[in-house]
Amino acid sequence: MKPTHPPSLATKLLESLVPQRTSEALVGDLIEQYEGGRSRRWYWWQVILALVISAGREGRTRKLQAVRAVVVGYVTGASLCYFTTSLAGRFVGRFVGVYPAYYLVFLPLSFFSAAASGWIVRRSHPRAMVLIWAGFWVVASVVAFAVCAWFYVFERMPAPIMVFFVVVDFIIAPLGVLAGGLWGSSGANDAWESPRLGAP
Amino acid sequence: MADHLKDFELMILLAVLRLDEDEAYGVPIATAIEQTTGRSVALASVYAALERLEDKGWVSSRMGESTAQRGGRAKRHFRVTAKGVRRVRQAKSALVKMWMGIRELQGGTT
Repeated sequence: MKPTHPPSLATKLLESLVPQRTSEALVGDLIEQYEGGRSRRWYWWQVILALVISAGREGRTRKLQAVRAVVVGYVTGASLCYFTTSLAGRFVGRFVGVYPAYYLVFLPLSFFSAAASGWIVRRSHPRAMVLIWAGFWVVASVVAFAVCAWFYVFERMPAPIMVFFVVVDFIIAPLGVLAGGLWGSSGANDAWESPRLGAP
Repeated sequence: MADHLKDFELMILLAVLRLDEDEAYGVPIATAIEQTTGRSVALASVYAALERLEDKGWVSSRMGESTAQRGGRAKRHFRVTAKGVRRVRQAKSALVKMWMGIRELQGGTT
């Protein structure tokens, strides 16, 4: 039996990541259709399409802002991650050794660094959140691939450490950016960007 | 090209013109296109096209009342502006001119 309410996470993603000019009416339409008998799968598919279309539109209409958002997000996230893990690794390393310390602190700190960058980008680029997430993921993937290839060829790094890098760059960091973006969107109001709908 | 009108945008303009102003919001517009073309249409693509058309000044929109059926969210009603109607007429005129005199398209239904 279908639950009464539409998926709240999907609704939250749509309202947080798509400009309010579009999201309010679109969410209303999706809820109306869901109440009319559409499935949860249909609802999620419509939300995913809306995020992709919104990112495409941001990229086409605001190229400079989109590039800036990706650069700001990646630079802040990578810098924060580097400094916090270096400091924490040295501190914790005194007690458990340097490499185990990195494992212990790297995952949560990379998540929180990525979340901080997501928050900063969401606040400074209210319309570019979907794009920064996608852009961040692409840039992080390319960098992760290059780093892994370098370590594999020149440093003979063990496979578990490379897997660790891949998990951080492909999963932990993008999730952090998304979480930070959602956090940054709560209370943020981009209504100031909307045209005066209904104005004479 | 600033005044380029894509097929999908033309369909949306025609759907909005067909509907009463109170009924011209996302769901009925998408349904009208689905019924005409027989293919499913993403609501987000309808809004993306409507916003492009609004940026060109061919449609205008206003927010309606929020209702409980829609989780407290308002409808966004659209209407085609005079400039938009002129653009649709131009598109029709161009299409009809292109259509005329093509033997393969005369008669039959396919």
